Amino acid sequence: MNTAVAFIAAPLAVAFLLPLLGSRSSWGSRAAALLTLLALAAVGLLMLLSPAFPQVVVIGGWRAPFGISLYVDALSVMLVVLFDLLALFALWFQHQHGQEKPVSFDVLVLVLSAAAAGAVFTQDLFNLFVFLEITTVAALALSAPQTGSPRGVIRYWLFGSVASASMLLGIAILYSGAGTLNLVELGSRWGHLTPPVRWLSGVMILLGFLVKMEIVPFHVWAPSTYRAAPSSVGLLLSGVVTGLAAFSAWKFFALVLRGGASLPPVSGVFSFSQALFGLGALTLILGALAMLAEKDAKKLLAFSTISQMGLVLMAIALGNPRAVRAVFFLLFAHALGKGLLFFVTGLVVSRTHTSEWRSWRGLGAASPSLVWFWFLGTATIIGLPLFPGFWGKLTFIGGALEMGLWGRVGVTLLILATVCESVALLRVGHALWEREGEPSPHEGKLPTRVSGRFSYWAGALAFTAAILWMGLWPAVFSRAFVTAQQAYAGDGAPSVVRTSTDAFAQRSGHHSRRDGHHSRRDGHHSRRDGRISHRDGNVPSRHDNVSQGR
Amino acid sequence: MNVVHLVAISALSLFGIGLYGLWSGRNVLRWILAVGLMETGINVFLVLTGWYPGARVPIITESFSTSGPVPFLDPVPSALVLTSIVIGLGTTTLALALAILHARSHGTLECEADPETAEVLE
Amino acid sequence: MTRLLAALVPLGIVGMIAFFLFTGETGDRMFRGRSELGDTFSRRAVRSDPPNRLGPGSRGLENAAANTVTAIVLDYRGFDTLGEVTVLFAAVAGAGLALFGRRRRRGKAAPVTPSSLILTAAAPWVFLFLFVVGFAIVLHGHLTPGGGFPGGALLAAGLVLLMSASGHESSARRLHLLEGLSGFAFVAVGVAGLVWRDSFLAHFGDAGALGAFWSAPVTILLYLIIGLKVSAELTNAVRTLANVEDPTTEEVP
Repeated sequence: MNTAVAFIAAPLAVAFLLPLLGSRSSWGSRAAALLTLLALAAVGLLMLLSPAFPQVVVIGGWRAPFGISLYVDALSVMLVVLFDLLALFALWFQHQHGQEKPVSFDVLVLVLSAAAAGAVFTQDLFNLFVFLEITTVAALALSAPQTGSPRGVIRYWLFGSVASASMLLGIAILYSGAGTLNLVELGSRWGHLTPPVRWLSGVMILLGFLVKMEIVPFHVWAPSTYRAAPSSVGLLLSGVVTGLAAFSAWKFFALVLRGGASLPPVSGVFSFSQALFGLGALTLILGALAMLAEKDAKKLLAFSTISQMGLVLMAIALGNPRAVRAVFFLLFAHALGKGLLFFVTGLVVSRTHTSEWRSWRGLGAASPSLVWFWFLGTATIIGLPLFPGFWGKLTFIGGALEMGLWGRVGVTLLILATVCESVALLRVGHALWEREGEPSPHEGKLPTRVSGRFSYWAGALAFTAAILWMGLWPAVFSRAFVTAQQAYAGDGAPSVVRTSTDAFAQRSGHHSRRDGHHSRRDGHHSRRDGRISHRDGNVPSRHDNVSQGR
Repeated sequence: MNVVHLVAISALSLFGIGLYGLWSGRNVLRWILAVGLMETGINVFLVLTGWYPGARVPIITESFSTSGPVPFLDPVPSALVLTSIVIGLGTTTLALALAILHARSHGTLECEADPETAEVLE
Repeated sequence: MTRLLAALVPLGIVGMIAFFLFTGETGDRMFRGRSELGDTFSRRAVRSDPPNRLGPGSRGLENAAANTVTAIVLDYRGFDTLGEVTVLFAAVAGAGLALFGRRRRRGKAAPVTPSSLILTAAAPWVFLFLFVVGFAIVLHGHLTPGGGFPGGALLAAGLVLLMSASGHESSARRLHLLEGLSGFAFVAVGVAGLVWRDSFLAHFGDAGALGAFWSAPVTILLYLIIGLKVSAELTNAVRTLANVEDPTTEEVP
């Protein structure tokens, strides 16, 4: 029942202990970090094989609206396994190809994976904020460049800090109005808040998420950070940190804002979710166009991430069941495809020491498999049929076409952006593939053994297997996505909290007063907001006090 | 209008001064201070949201009847503030390290947007 | 012109927030009472019906820390605190990674100014004072305002003072040991809760009488751990940031 806690506690415990083994990464510390992540991924897969979902894990023994609880379903476990595997892969890659191996790198990757798991599972707004802060701090530290200018990372810190500040202010305003921090309960009280509170907190908290999702015009930090960071960190930034921000944004949007439906329209012309949809569309198309003009491979991948996140934001804003499933599909497809692309980029950069993709010409002759993996990653991202991105985009189009004119505009933009994205990514692949023309400046420099090593094949084939599985047999994924989408969409009586309180009552019957819980829970729903006025003074009994409100 | 409103507006002003600091210069240390001001303003505001007239410090020093509300201010924001202060401290540490890196590679703390790294779409 | 704009935009944002929050119906609800959440915590009434009396000496409470904020920070929302400790840990480790991550050609170390007589003479006494007060604050976190974070900061101030007076750095290894072990101990207390109370970070053992020094034993334990961790963490942060070579000197090959 409490297995899910392991995803947070185990990496943290190992991360705390690793520096004791010395400040340089040794054989022992490396093995400890890698084995922890591997074991957690295995545990996650076992949980998926014998599912007992949804589970609610109560932290500290305090039931849902009061304490912090984790909501564990198939989707969240899949996401956490994905994040753990990406972290494992980044660590593995860094150990194989990175120049130096300080133990802090292992420590921060472990902390990142723990925080990612916490943010995926948690059902508490402030707890979510704390975990997102941990991921930001870890990602910042990991992407700080050892040589060259840190200006990109300083920009990341600046945007990240302003985003967290805005989010914290939003949380403060929301708490002052609603008097709770549990996401589901916030959702059920949202309708009773005054419009200014709804507006200010909704905009400010979403602003925080949008900056971390690299949405135009808040994406400015991303390209320079990706370029400065090592490729393994680029993989983490793009797959884990950004994906996590998108998932959290969706959680907030679905649970608290209830799909944006309860927000009043902006000046009567377009609604809140339409504004978000517009931002997403802008991001999608501008990101894709910027890819065409980009000469630096890492920045090109950054713009690809930006463009994909724009699509995810559009799907979040649409909010209908199909679009929500598209969000999940896109997140998985993006993480897998981008992981493979960063893997190839990292290998090439570690050999050629340049990320200008035009100068990569002819490298494919030495190791053709590199080119194939690049094309596989490209196919995953752009959504060639029977690749993961295809299912994401197909589901998205299905969802968008339900939404009238806006949706149709969105689909048109998606097709345009996909064309730009394919051209940009295929050009890089072509440059790698090209054998004729002027001789490559790296002729003979690339060791032939690049593709012959065990670690290379292990990593690349793991990605390939995951991509083929999701592309050819998406049923497993889509079943989990449908379940999650339905659980989160329960309107009126929020199913997540109901499950959580029931589960707690069953589990801790020995804590007495089971019926007491239920009567108090009913009290929550009948109240207008979470405040107890000091003017009410001496209310005779607690129960009356709760149900009357003010 | 109450004294608490005055304090709340000062807290929000701190936030605004921080924003101004970000907007009006390009020095890394200035940015670090500005972000610190913003965070402080938010923390003060967050503590204030738990206050109401006649509220007492939430430490139990005398006996209370537990049937009615206890006359304490809302302790939750105070607890949240503790967390957010420490988070701010952490990011400041990291930002100082980044400032040192900047000084190391550029010899200055002025973070100019150099044309060489100018981005598309910027 | 740009400066004016830079001043007007924040002014506008703040003015808008203040206007919307402090006028109208929102203004009426602001600063008018506490949330039911906070009230339940104040009455220690989440899990069970509270006893008739809540005051010094009450027994059998679900949480016996007299300081409600401490009860929330370490018990009701203890998970946040684990995250908070992790942020600090990650930031200090990250600063180390950013500054000394790869073997880089080290420049000349910044010249060490010899500490003055006043500093060297006073440091031990001030350290003693900070040490005693710091530990007192850490250990009384469940009764009074304060606790592991401010107490740990005082301890760290003492260590940094000693460091700057003697000119020796406190050993990185020992700091790492303290940092790592106390972090691990936090998780271990959480797992102990899992073993005995079937929930991660649940407090175990007899809560004791509210207001007594030996009440809420897990709270005392956790604050002690946090105090040690914060002091090690902050000292380490100062050490890391102060230990950088002077950036203006040329790099030597």
